[in-house]
Amino acid sequence: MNLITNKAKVLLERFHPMPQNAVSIQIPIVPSKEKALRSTLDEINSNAADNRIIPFAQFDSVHFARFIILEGIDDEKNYGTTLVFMANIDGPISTFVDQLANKCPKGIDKIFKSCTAYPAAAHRSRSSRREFLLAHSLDTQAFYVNTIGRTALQIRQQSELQESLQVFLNSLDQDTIESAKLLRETVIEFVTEQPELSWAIAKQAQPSLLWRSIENVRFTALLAFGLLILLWAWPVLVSWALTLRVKEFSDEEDTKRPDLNYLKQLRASEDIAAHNPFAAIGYLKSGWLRKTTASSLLVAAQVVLRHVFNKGDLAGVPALGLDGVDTIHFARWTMLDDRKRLLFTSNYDGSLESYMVDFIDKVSWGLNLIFSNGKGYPKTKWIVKDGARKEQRFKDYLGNHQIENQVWYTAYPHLTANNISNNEAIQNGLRGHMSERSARSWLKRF
Amino acid sequence: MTSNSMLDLNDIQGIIARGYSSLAAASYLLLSITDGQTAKPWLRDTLGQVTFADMTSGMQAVNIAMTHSGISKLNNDSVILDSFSNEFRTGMTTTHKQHILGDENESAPSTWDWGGPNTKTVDVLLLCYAIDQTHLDQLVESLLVGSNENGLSLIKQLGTEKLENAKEHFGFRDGIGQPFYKEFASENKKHPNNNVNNTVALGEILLGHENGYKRLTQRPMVPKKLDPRNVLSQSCDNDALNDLGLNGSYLVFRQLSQDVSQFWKSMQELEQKTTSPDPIRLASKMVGRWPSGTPLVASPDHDIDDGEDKNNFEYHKEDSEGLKCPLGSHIRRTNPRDSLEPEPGTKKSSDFSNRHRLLRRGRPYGKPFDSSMDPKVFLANLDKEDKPESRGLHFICLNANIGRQFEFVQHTWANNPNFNGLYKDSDPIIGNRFSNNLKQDQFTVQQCPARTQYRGLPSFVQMKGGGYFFVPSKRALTFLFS
Repeated sequence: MNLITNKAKVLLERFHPMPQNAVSIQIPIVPSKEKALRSTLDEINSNAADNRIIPFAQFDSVHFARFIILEGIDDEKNYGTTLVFMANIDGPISTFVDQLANKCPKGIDKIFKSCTAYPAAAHRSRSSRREFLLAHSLDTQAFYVNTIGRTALQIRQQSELQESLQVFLNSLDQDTIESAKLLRETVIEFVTEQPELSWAIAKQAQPSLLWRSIENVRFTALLAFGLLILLWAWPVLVSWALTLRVKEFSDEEDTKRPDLNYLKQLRASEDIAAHNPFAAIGYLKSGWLRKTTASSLLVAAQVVLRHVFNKGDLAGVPALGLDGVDTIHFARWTMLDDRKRLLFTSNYDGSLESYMVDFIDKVSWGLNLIFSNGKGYPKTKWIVKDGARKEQRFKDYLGNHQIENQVWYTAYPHLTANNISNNEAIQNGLRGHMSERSARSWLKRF
Repeated sequence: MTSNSMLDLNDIQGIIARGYSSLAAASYLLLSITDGQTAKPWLRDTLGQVTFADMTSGMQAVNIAMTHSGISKLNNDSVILDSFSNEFRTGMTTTHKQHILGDENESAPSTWDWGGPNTKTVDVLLLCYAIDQTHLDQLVESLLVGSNENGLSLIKQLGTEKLENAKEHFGFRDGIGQPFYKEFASENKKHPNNNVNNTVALGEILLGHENGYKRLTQRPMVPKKLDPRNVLSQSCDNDALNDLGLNGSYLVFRQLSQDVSQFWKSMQELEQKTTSPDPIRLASKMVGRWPSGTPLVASPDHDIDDGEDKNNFEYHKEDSEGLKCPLGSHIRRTNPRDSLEPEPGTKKSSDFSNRHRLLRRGRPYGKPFDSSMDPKVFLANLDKEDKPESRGLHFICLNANIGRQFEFVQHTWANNPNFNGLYKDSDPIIGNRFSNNLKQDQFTVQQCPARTQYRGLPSFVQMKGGGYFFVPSKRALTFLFS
């Protein structure tokens, strides 16, 4: 069955591929091998970009990658620890897994032989490794991409361009600059003359018209479907909301503060780059109603993330007075253990404190919508109110649910999402005609 | 979740309500507790001398603050100790805090004169103020009488220096941009701070009162059975607890040393490449104010030294692009006012900034480079000292939530090389020049048509010692010392 769905996915990817994809792989660990696995992962993490097991920097398509050793669910008597691998990549998942199997067969063996059902040494081949990884792929319920279609390679190249142009501007004599227009022309001339920068003059690859049209048709259809539901089923939705409101009164909110030593352990690996990885896991509230609410909201979130919040600003709707967050590179929600638990992972700019402040100050409503279905979440009112706004409860809740990443890789550790979009605008400004005024605003990007 | 509207000024330590500007002399005593039980009677005696917010300061003032270690030596109940904030319990010196605060390399805690891993643990901080040095010396002497015999020992006495025109050592008037608390309005009358956008919720500085989210900040509590005589008031949000935090605050202390001649020599060198070198203009661009304190937003091209403190300004309408006051300047980082998301230029944006405010109470230390405190005079005599005199700022600030206020300002704003869309620019005055494994030593001055970018800034200040302290209320002091 798995094989068939995987094949279907591969076909779908071929017909209408999403430019970026979320790799999620979860495999049970053999208890006796956990210790060895931990030391392997430590070795990778000591230099995730360039190590002998999986040198992530050699994969141009990878934005971020991580390994998590995830403890099993509480009520399980047996050892339920699994290894979770996640990556945010350009291009199809199958292509990436192929590359992984081709480039690092020994590394894959070293990591995944700690997992159950990994092929025995005699049966290992490129295709057996590939099939093993794909067979343990997880579905992502909702996936946020800061800007759909922006590749990791492009991000790194545009950063180099920005740096070279800064140096070039520093070399100019300020007094010789007559106008913004002329200065821009000087910059363009400089770029054209540099063989290693000349790529920047060409228009960057963009999703085709066909691709964009299909996206638009898809969104229109889903929107129409959503409206139909609203029109026909509003009494159901209203009673649903009322029932949830009643349930909110008896929701139990976590009042326990997280263990300080655990927090210190988490913090020890944070704040070593312009951005950080975040990972948190929690149980969904029990009962059919809450689980269905969570699943439906994630489905809706996925539509909105893919079609609306795909240009750098998450959850910002100026017309409704809703403020967005422009500091998140990627985020995803993954249901685990037969919808018992929800795993949230993201890569965000700045420190955890500033991330939480953004959650509380700017997008608490959106967070509440999804996370209020989690056990122990600060009490909400009408699903969107309170919740994350209860600063201390919310921070404690995150502390109680945050988990460690055993390995974290970032392809561009010095860049914030804001830097990345500015760099892109710098490259785009190298083409075409500009008035003095537009040239001035383009130059402000330096 | 509101607390009683009447503020019990007699319960609040004076330093929270005012900076004792009429008391020109001050020194800070760092003590360690060698025996908690014998220290208590001595501390109770000292409590009799502590100045509270309802008293007039007169000739002298004393305030007291304690580290987590200090409190643990007086009361080792883990329920009480663990109820303090995570930041206060963790302290300032873990590897992670070094990343957050920028205390790396030459500012690393291992090099500190006090408060670091290689020096004696600081337990108690006595903040002493007097009308002049003679009175201060008498006050300190009388305070310390019997301390050695009573389970305490003096680690260090940190002196302070009153500099001309309320300047800090580089020659800039300091302490103008303070948050305004209407509850302490009578104390702040002289300050030009009381505009609407600068008014901050009392709970941002005083525990047990409504904060900027209209909630109560997490604070230390005591189970009722551990306070049978109810020295403390009952917590307003939990019947089983008494409130150890109410009317208290957290105090952040950082001793920052400043090399004045290196600072001004760097300004000269950085300006050499420009066509009309002006070291004072460059330094003012870095600070965001001219030496007199006049903000660049109000006067971008020249200083206006009219003896008036100017703090009634915003960024968005006046200067959203940083053409007057650079986007990465010191005061634009440490208090961005209405310039950041969400919705710059609106109250929403000011409210956001106001949840990250610090009430500063520090004072400079060390002899001035020149008593005039005039940068022009500094520049004319840059080689006057054979070796740099030890001088700097005893940075002291009060806040209710160290993580959301002090640490946030330090990391997300001041030390952040990517602040405001910049790339490798840390705070030009106080910033750490190496973080995230990269040099972060640029300063960008936005201009039209092209910005000027300075590279290779050295670090101008170094950490010499510091710690997180708790400033208890009178009731909390009585409880802790009994």
